Amino acid sequence: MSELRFNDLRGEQVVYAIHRQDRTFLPDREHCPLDPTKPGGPETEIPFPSFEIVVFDNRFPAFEAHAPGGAAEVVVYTDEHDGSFGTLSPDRAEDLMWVWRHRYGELGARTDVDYVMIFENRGVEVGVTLHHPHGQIYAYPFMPPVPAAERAADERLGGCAPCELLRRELSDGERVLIERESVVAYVPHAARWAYEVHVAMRAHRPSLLECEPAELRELAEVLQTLARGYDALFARPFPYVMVVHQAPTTGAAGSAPPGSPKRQGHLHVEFYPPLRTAEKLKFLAGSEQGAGTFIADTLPEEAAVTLRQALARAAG
Amino acid sequence: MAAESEQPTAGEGSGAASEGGAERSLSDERERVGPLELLRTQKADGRALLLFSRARERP
Repeated sequence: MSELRFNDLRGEQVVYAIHRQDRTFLPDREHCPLDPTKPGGPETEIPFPSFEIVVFDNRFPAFEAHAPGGAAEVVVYTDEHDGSFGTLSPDRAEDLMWVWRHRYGELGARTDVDYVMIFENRGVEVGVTLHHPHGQIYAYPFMPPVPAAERAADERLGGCAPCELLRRELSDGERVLIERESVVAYVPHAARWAYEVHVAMRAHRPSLLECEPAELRELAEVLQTLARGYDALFARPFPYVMVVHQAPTTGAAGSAPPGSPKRQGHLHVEFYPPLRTAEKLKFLAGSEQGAGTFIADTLPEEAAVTLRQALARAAG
Repeated sequence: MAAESEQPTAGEGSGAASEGGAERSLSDERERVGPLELLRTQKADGRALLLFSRARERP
């Protein structure tokens, strides 16, 4: 059972989930808990010999309904152990958008959930303990600092911040990587990570719930295009943290239901890749941890040029 | 993708418990989620297990 403690100096919650210390750590290929359970083989988390997309409660949850509230789920993208989000079939990637949408809607409707965060950690560089293609969902029983900062940005910019930032990026154009009818990918003007990319809905969509089916399809296509471009960047599986940012949910103070014009938030997906070169990692050290100020080694405009070349290689 | 096995695959839902220990029962629920079909079930230890598969036209 996890415990929340409020760090008064930082003004933020800290989650103590000490049972996670013993979670499965980089098992060998034959003992992947996210593989299907094959006849005569070891029992895995998914007791079927094949499946498409599966979601289940995390065996080592940071959040549970009974304490401290919220939920922690695992989303397995495929029953095939090898591969990645970028190598899923287009249909499967589109299906995943519907699964994300369903989980956001259902978890977000709970009164003990303030914020639903869908994410994927890829690569041992970001702490991955299982290589099978999968993501996770945390349903927070409080409003975490990052979405709170995004809502503060709405106040500061006098409207939807991601809408305004997308308008600026499209106007400038120098850092835009992918443009589709409903989705745009760009390196943000003030990226913190060398190859950080944001994928934003062109229209104001607070969450996946407000998206049309065609928009979900396009979002999947752009996310996969970007993931494959990342892999082409240094000709190696590219580690990243991918986070879906959406509107705060039912339990959050001041939240409004889907469809309400008062609903805050703008669906976008942020990628935080830790590599700054093919071999060098960006570490969060003195300035980042002690002052909260990122020191970057690469200009976003230069990263955009390099990423566009990688996207072209991946498409070729 | 499709398993070359005669065991029930996820989403086919015969109602029988699989070898792997999922508790399948009459309480299993099926829902439509966009182009997908969702089957809700539970793992043997009580944790929720949600199986999403492309909905197929049934005869």
